[in-house]
Amino acid sequence: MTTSGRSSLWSGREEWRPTVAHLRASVGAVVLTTIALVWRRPDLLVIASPMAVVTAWSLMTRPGGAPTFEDRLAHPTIREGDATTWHGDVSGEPMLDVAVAAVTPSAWVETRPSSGVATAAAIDGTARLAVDLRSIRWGTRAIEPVDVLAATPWGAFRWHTHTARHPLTTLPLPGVFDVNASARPSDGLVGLHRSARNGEGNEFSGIRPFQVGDRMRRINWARSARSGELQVNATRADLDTHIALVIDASDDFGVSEGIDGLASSLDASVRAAGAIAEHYAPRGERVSLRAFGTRIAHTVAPGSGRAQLRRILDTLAQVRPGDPGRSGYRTPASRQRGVIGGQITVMLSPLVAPDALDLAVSLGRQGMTVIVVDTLPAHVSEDDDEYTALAWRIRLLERRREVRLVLTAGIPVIEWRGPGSLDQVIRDIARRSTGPRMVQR
Amino acid sequence: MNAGQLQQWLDQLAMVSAQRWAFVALAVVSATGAFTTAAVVGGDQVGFVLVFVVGLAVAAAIRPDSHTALVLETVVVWQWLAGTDDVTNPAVLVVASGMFGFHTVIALMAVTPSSAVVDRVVVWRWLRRCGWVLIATGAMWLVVVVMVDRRAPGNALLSSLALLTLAAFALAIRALSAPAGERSRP
Repeated sequence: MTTSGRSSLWSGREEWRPTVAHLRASVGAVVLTTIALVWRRPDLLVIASPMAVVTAWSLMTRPGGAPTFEDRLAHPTIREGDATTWHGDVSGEPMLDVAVAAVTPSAWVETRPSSGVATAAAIDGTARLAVDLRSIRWGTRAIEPVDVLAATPWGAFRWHTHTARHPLTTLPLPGVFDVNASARPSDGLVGLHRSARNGEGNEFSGIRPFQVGDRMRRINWARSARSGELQVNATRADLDTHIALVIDASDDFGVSEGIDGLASSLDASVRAAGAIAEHYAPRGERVSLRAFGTRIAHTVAPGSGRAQLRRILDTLAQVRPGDPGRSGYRTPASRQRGVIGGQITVMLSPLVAPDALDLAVSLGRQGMTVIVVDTLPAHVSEDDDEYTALAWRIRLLERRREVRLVLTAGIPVIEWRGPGSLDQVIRDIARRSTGPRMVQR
Repeated sequence: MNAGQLQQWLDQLAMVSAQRWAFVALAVVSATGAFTTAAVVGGDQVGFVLVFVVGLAVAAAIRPDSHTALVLETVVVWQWLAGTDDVTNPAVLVVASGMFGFHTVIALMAVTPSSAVVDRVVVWRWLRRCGWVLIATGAMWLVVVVMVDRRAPGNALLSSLALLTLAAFALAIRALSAPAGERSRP
């Protein structure tokens, strides 16, 4: 019930200063003792005695130099829903009694204690403060400066400082995702999938005569002995899949309540992209990422493995929705055409702006395999304002027609449903890839 | 006050911790208890002034870093001084304890924001200290009673000396009970 809010918690510079409480005790002790002596009222000495003791105690524990303060964030990078701890140590002043830290509330960061205020008693002149921080939404944000106060016994002297901002990166927590269908092979020469062509791999395809360049370990000695000439085991090449993830970050529709509540369109896109990347990249598949509609281009070149997954999640955490009112500041979808070239291009978009559908159709006409994942949340059309709700219903009807046109163009549009979302589509694509294709150039 | 400010004020009120409310209640009870005791001993009507004291106590609890608490303590002391002539009245212990409790709670509230829950170790540490101070206060009252009973001349001066002795005694106890790190400094 102090006082004002958290922004102007304590005033003062980084030096020990006597408090109003110390002044009150001192004045009370001196004035009451003086009155007692002058008016011969020893009972006032009884009233003055607690103040006198407190004043004397406070003066005996008067601090010397400024204390040392160090703070740190235990983990600067965490996943959505995970927690880290802010630690602050006040030390170097033997008279230190209590230390208080108040974390300024930040969006999408929950604290424990819920007030964001921690208190600690000093032991041997050192007070250790800790506040748990739980990030509930992906993104890069800063932990605002923490107000720190140290006080001597009876709160007689206090010292105040505030920390610098600590950057906290929250990686998206990928939704549960799995896919059983195998994509058609690509033109690469590494990976998990069997190629239609022979080459260096593990999958046995036949026995053929030795050719210059064949490895010695490929020689089938038993067959060679029987036939009288060198024979080698031929294998099919192992190939990988290149999944190109394309995120439409032009806008963020719907309400975002963090990891524990409703998800906005960008939440769904980012988490779905993270899930797909987490499924494919550690298995050795190549995954790339590109976000369009943002003010800053976010791109991750194709790669595989855990390091690639981390790169993608780091990049996803930096995605910010673009400003729809200032399209000049956004990375237009049209610029993406030359750089998206995955074996399978997965576009994650709420499909409200026409850019994403245009891009999908354009890529499809270039002969690329495109899957559009609709990430528009269901709650987006719910609005207290009846006109806004009506506008949303009209826009959704238009959007349904646009999606139908895209489907007619041969581009699948699916809703994100977590595990198995892409199974049927990938099976269809694999089956379709075996037949002839028409490409418009 | 417009709607936005009112909402902000209500939000801040909702963030106040239960412990803080307990501190506020303790501060108000201590102050009003001290004042009421002084008024009752003096045989005065306490109605209007008591409302004023409660208002001051609440204001001091809301803004513990202000001088409102000093004004309240002045009112209580004035009430005691004006209404009581019996210098050995044991009610002075209630008044002294009430004022001291009020001062201590306000001092503790001043170093923490309203939403804070003060660590239990800190609260116990402050309570222990309060215990020592209250013992010293009781001893001081005994000194006053003994000196008044014996009609010792110049008792005010001697009482002051006794007060200083008690303060030194309390500090010595505190120094002996403090951790090694604290003892290393004067």
